[in-house]
Amino acid sequence: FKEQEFKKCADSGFCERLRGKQGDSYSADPKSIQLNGAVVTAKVQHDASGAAYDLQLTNYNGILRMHIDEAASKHRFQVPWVLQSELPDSSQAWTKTRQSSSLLQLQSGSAQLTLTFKPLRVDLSIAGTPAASFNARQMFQYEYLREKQEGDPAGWWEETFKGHTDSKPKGPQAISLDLSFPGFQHVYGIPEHAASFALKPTTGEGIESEPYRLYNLDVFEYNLDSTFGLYGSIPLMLAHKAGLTTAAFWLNAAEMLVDVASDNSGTQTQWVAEAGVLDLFFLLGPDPATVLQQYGRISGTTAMPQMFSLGYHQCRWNYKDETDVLGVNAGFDQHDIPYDVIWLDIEYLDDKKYFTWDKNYFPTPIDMQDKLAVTGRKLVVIIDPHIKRKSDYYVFSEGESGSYFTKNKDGKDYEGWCWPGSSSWVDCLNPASRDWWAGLFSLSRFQGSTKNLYIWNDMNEPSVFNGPEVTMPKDNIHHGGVEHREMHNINGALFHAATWQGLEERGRDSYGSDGDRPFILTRSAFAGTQRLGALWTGDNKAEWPALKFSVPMCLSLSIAGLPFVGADIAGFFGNPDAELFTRWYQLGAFYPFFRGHAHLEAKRREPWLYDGTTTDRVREAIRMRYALLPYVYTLFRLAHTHNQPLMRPLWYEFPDEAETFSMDDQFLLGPSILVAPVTEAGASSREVYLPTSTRWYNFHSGTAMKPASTGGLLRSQESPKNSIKVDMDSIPIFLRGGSIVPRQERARRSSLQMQGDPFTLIVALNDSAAASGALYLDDGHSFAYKRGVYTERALTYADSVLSNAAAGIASTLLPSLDVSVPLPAGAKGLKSDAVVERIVVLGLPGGPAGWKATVQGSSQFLQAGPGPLRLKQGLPESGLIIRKPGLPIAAEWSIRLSKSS
Amino acid sequence: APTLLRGIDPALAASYSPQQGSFTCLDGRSQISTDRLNDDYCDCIDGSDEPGTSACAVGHFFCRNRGHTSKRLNSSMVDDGVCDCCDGSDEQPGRCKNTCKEEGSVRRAELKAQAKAYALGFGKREGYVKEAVQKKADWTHELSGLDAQIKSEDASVKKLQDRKDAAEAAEKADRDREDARKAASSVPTPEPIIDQLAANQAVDESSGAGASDNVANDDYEAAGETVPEDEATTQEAVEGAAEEAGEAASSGKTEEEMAQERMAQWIKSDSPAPPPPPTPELQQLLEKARAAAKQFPAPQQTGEPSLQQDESRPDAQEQTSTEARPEQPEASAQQAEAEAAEAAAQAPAGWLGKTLDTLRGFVGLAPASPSEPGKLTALSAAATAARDKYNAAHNSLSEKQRRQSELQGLLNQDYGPDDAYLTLHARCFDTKADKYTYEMCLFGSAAQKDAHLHTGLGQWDGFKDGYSIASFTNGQHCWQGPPRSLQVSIKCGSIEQVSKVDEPNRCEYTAEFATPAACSPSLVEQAQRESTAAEQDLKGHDEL
Repeated sequence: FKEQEFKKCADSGFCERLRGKQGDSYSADPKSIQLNGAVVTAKVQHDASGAAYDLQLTNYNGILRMHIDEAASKHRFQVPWVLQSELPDSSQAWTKTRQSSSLLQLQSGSAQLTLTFKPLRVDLSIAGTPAASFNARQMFQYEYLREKQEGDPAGWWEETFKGHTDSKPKGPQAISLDLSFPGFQHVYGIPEHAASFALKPTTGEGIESEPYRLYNLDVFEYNLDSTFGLYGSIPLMLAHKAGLTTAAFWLNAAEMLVDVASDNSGTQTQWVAEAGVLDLFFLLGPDPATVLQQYGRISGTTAMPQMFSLGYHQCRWNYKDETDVLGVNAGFDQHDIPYDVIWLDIEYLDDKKYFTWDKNYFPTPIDMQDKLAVTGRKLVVIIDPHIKRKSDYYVFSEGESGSYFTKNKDGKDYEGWCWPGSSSWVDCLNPASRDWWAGLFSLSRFQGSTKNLYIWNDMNEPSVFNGPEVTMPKDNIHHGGVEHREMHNINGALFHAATWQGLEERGRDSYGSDGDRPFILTRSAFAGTQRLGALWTGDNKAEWPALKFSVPMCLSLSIAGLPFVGADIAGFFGNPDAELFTRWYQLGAFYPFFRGHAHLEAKRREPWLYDGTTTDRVREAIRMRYALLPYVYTLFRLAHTHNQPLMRPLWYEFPDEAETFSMDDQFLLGPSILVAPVTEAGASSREVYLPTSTRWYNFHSGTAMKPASTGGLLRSQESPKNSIKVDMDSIPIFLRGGSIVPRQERARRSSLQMQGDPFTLIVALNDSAAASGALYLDDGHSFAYKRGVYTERALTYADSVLSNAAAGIASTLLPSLDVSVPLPAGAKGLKSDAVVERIVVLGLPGGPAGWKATVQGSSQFLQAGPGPLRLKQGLPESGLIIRKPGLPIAAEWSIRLSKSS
Repeated sequence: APTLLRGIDPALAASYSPQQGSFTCLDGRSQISTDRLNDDYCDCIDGSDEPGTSACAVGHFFCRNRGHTSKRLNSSMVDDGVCDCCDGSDEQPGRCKNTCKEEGSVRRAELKAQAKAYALGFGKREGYVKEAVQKKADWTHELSGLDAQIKSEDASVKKLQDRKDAAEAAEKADRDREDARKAASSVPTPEPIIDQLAANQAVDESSGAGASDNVANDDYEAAGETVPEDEATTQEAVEGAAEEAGEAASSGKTEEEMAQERMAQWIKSDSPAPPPPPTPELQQLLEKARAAAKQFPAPQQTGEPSLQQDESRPDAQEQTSTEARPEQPEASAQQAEAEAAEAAAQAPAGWLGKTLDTLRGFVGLAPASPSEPGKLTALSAAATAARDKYNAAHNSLSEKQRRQSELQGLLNQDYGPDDAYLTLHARCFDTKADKYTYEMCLFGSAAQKDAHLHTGLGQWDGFKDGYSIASFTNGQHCWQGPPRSLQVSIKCGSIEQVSKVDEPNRCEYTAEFATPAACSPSLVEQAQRESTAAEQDLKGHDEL
């Protein structure tokens, strides 16, 4: 990490001008106020200069959009692509509750909005509780576009950093705003930073910090615990306190800096963006799940991933040649470790030209992919946005002649330096460029590709080795005359989108109208990236602190609406020892995106290259993930339909337990599984917080854990300390009382082979001897689910009856927001022959002994008796095991338990 | 024969026979009724109740593979749609073709060939062992002869030395007298001039450092214009000036240079390829060249900061602005280095002479003439004769001593069981892989070569793991990485052959080496047994 290569606030004209600046007066003209159904409009002016702006406040039922722009003729950049076209459908008329010469008060449901005219200010409250205020501190600033004049202050029209001069032809155009969250002590989000999950203050007494920076950058060996901008930017901030969760989202893709301050009255923030418009969305909540759902309505929900992409991914820079790839593939079979995907980094290419193969090392790529496909494995190859400038390279010559590349400030194709040497960059703001780029992925054009090949988009910030701050000059020009400055943070997402379009088209060509869901990993992201696929947290180090920080990094991304995330296991740079390696897999198995990756110069570290015990432990961790695939896949369905994250902070599920608000060393996977990674070398125990409102079961043994009545900290039986003993075999994981988790416990080579395998249901009863869960099933790869080829099951246990019924998964996983998604008309659902082979009931009143089980409607008793959660030596007989009920997983049935007399 | 349950290893058949209607899991931990065998539900912790299904995560499936070799599969592979056994028994009937016959015959041919190669190899090995005995005897014989000769020659050399010393003493006395006579009108020789230059150089260096300080002061003064003249900010100002200077220097780089630097931090050894590290020999020569160049600044550059100064203060380059540090010295140093390197590469032997001539050029001397007889006092014929005699005797003795220690080394080397590897001493074997040729000399060194490069992969580090590995370590360092190494697995074979070169980790190479020296009766027997078993397996199949 070379800190001096990157800007601090003081190195940027706009930040230097606006950070902390207070007191400029803006006002709304009371005579201009118009209320028209869901929309309020007003004229706003900067009182000192008279600069004029249009204000628009729109009510989208739980979402309030506040838009301020200069006159349309000024052509300030509006970010395209992110907003969902359905959003306007939800607009809802305001009820005016008060209007005077100084303010306007509006009501919609439990939300109340007060617009104060001078100085301009907006206050929001939910059910009488203040939620957020705009411009309470008068930090709102809107630099208007103007003509250059003699005597303009230095830094308005040109600035230089490390020898790079930014011509800034449009002059000053930054926007600053302040948002206060009264009564909230915790705010979250605005990824991507290697920082704590609860955002630490950056200003205030005794605090000297750079603001959180949102500027997508390729940072070599990034620092931890830093406000430094990384590869992706999502300008969404959540505020949470007991009883209320709310959020703000600023749709703006320019460089943005966010300050956080905190005092007894709550949290105050200042946001400064270098360009664009003010397009601010308040997400009114009032709870975490609803906030996420509201955000999904704005920017879209998670793409339904392919089942294979939820398995384990084996990556390395680089697998050298076909023999190497097939050797590693065979190694997994030999060591009986499941995996789904093997990856190729940049060395597979001929001269770093994308869509080619180095024929010396990969002479028969199709053959190789076919061999992998025999056991259900896929290949992912890297394709980046920089195109080698070489006239006999078809991608370059097509890009040049089609004018698909980003231009420099003089209107010529921009030339920069990246892996291939001198390169140009696809301009994905240009729809024609996106269409052209998408076409390059067809099987006929991408020689050596098969339908089992998927894509990795790296370096899409974009990374430019000789550019300012390792990226593109801000005065580069994109389609429509848009400056790079205005769209920088969405650059990577648009490239990702173009690749997505390519694989989607290829899928339809290969499979017909149901197609094939694209899988594309990206490094750079913006709001909306969730609709495209997975993101990893970039180039981390094989060191313990990086393992620890992977949790807050993934949590921040998850609650910012991007759930398909993971960190490189077991650290990209360097060589992890066996302990770190093991611990990272044990955590990584619970990342939504589960990939091992290593730097070119790192030692080989396929899971069997340490000692045998390490191999056994890593195998166990990976198999644990595969056993949970039905649960993980179901969670992704919930992310797809309701925008719910997979990795969740504890407060997401237990919003009133204040001790959890700043916790980021443990998390929940979905509503039911609590994961407490071990992130210290040589740990023999760790503290685990188990919320007091329910009971918890040890995920490995099925033993019920009783939380202490005070403080919620677990008092284990063995020790008075609030700690859980750990050994190297596993990390502490707990199952939430009241959940039913579907699993497929047979070991297989890859997820493909699990299709049709029988299910095990883990029923973990709560204090009322009840539990519920859900299962979503479809073909795992196509878009056939869109026409109803899927099944959703609600699994419930109550009054000693376990039943399986067709019902939306939200009915049990998210009852507070049960907006069920109906099957399309005439759809017949999914046919499945899979059966339930085993049911484990934990926490039965009076213990697992002495129970009988019958299928309702039959007089036959099922085989049932006490047994261990899993068939493994040393586990207690903690559950009632129902052996081989043989009931179809996708059918209605119920089983009654009764005490034998 | 009774029909066995699916997936059972016939060797374990007895454990599965339904005698008492119950089955004891093979680990002995629990007992289940026999109707739970292969009922697609796992009951035994060791997976032994489900040899023919995928129900147990840790179980095994045995495929008979008649006509080929039988195989034990992980239960995870049973009924997963992939044909893993050549007889197809791991999948439901009709799914897989039986390919055991074809695959078996290929395998049998391989086993047969292997058995033959092993037998042949072992036969050759006997020759190797005999040769080793002979070689060792020869060496021992030669060594004992040498020991005696050295003993006697040692005495005579001592005598000759005494005579020489006496003659020289006489000669010196004569010469001293002559020198005293000539003392008033002597002419300096080139050597004192060079000494003098070196002394001047030392003075320049210390004043050069002062000059550099002045440069920093100048910068500070320039920057001072915009800095408040507050005492407390002086330090900041200096730092600021230094930073600005650094920036100016960095902005002096071309775009491509900056990009390459950035890329280099990502991957130190990748494209655009940095120049390959020089070989140790060349490195040494370069060091010498640098040292020599440092001593003698080119005449036209007198007064410029010397090269040595720049090198000894690496930060000077960063902290001094481009104007303050003209590129000339660096350019000339690079040139000198390049010339020296070129000379070294072309003619290592003549290089030093050339360089000295160059240096003489620097200091304004004519190249040394091949010899300058008559310039010194004439030596007495006696001293010359005594010296010649002594030198001849001494050289002869040294040569014998060198050979003596060489032989001792050879005799102390570990040549493996029966000294079977001795015959490979001083022989090298190579193979082509990718674009390189890999060469390995047991007891010597290993290297990777192409048309232009010779990269040392390591020096002999002995046998490891009971003579199954030949280890070469401490080869050339990788760029910013570890020294290269090569681990060679040794296999029995009918001829010497290197194969399967790989680099599983950066700079850690592996290879296989077949040699008769590695063959043993047990290996031969085992190979024969495997081959015969495979043949009998086939016969058994035919009979059924």
